[in-house]
Amino acid sequence: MSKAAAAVQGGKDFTLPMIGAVFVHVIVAVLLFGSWHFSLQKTVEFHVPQHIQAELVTVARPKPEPVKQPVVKKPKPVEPKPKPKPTPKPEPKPVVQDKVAPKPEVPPVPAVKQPEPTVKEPEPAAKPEKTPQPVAELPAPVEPDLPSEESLFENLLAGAVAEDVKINEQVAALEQRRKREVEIQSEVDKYSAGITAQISQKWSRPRDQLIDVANLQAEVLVELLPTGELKKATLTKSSGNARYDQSVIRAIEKVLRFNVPDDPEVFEKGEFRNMRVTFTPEDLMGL
Amino acid sequence: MSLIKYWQTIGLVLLLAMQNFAYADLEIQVTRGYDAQTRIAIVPFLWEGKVALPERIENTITNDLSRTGRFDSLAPAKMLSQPYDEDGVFFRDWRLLGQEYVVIGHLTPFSDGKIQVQVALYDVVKGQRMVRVTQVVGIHQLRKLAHSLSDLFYERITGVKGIFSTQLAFVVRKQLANDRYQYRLQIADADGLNERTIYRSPEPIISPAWSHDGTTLAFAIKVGDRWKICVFDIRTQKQNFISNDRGFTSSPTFSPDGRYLAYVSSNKNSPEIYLYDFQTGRSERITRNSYIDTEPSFSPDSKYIVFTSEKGGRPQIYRYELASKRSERLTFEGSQNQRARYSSDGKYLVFVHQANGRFNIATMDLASRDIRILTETNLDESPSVAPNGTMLVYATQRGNRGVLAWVSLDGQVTNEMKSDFGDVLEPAWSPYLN
Repeated sequence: MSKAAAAVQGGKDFTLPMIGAVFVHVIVAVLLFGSWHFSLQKTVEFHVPQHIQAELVTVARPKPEPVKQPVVKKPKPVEPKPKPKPTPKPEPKPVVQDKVAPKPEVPPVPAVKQPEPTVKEPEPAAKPEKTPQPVAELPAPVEPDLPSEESLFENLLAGAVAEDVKINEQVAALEQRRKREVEIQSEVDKYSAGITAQISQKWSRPRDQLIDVANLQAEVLVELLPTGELKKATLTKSSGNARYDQSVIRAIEKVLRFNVPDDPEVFEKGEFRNMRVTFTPEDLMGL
Repeated sequence: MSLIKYWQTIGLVLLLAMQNFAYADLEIQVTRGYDAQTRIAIVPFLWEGKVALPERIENTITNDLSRTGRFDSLAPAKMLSQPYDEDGVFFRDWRLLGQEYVVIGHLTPFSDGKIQVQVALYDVVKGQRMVRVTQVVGIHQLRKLAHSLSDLFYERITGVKGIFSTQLAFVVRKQLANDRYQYRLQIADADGLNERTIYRSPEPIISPAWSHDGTTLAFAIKVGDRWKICVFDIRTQKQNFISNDRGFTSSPTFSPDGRYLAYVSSNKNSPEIYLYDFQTGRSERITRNSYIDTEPSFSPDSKYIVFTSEKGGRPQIYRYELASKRSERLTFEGSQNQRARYSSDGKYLVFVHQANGRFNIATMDLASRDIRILTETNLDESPSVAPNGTMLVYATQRGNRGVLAWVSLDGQVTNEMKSDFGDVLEPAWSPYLN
């Protein structure tokens, strides 16, 4: 490393051929030296997809039980994390980062900052893809180096920069979409909680009978129009008690207009068209 | 490059996964309800005749439904319109008022001084007519018609047969002098109105009971120094005394098949249960012990009698099987359990359950033997359960007067009634009479 530094300093004073030779050295040196950087940066970049993956999965999973849990989780990733942790994270704990679910935003930030590191030209080049196994890949970059001239190097450099930009764009696009999904999910959660309350308020259990309704359960498939009007309510699981079944259907009918999201994308993705409503009178249990 | 592809693949896979999830239905879990009363608008009926009618049908229907504790009727002053025919019913208006059902009616004079009554019930939520009735009745049948309309509406709305056309029998007692009383056995509509006396006595009348067909009452009455069970035909007023024992006699109860009458007599010291067979004209003693056995009641299939016995030390409920002549203890929870009656489907017992010093109406699921407490009351008298099992009537004290109180099974007192004559005692709710 110190040799390389000396060569660079010296290179400025000597002739062109020397420059070429030195550049080769520099490239090799930087590759060796920078590979660390790269591997670090790459792990950083690499985290982006992993985090996205984790994030998306968490987004996808809550759907079955949409109401509360996802809502709680989302706020965390969106705001607080990006600021405090961008710098410390990249180096020390690549592995740990993978495991920590809530840190998804960390990676995107470094990714955006990459343009700065590009000053170190050599790094971004072809290696981003290969560095995961740095040792094995090293030979590859060496080949282009053999015919290396300035033009070649600049091409390489330009290609690398372009690719970097591309990657950044994709990361940004993905991030954008992910944010949108999160947004949609939180809307879905909000509206389904609202609808749950709407139905609850209209549900009158047949309590003037000798049978205990507290342990009865029924399920209704509720088909809605995008306006929130009821298209059809079908009993899909009977409680075994006709009056109880009637009460749950009636609760649905009495809502008259369901409070569904205006945004058609949220309506469709949230599947407000087909809601599966289960009725379990937990408030009557133990009475 | 491969990394980008890698990302793209991941992205695509994830998107697909999300899409797959999105195809599943949205799941909503409703875990509580508000059990609000059913909101019904009963529009004042239009009467086209000149003479005022003795009965406002719509008021009777309103009172009937309100008394169940399940309905909240809209005051006519709050109605946006008061239609009397279908063209005038605008569902949107009624929805605005938060109503679930609307009843309209139209009365017109008919030949022979009769009245044509047209009534309809609408489901505001669904925006459709549920019931339409046209009937011609005499002017004094209006009240009866009103009760049967209440029954019809109640059944269509709740899925349970209404009890508004049933009747109550009860005893009223008036103190004439220090130790002189006048007793009357009375019958009234299920709402306590329209009462009439069917039997009078200076001696106590106790524990009236209806036969299963509603034509006959049995009650215990003191005649001279003897207690007798009187079987009284309401229509013909024919009396038949079937027990002539010394000692206290009470609690007659008919078997649903009409063959037997069970009652309690203490002519052999402790009160025991006897079974009178109308076919043979003979009584047979079915409990034999030195403890109190009382309050017999038949199962709907007439195969069992439930009764209260203190042979375990405190009053508990037992069940006697007529075929095997064996009895079995049913209740073990609580300090006392008394006054058991079968539900009309025979699956439940309804009884007074005392625990921690409080009296509750409880039910027992006879299949599982599980007890569930329905209503906490300040019972000081025997409750009688309506034939559809949704309400109770019992006698209680208000001030110095004995009054009747109606309680819905979810515990609300929905109505009380006192008698102008005196204290009201021992109500018995009739079976369905139609």
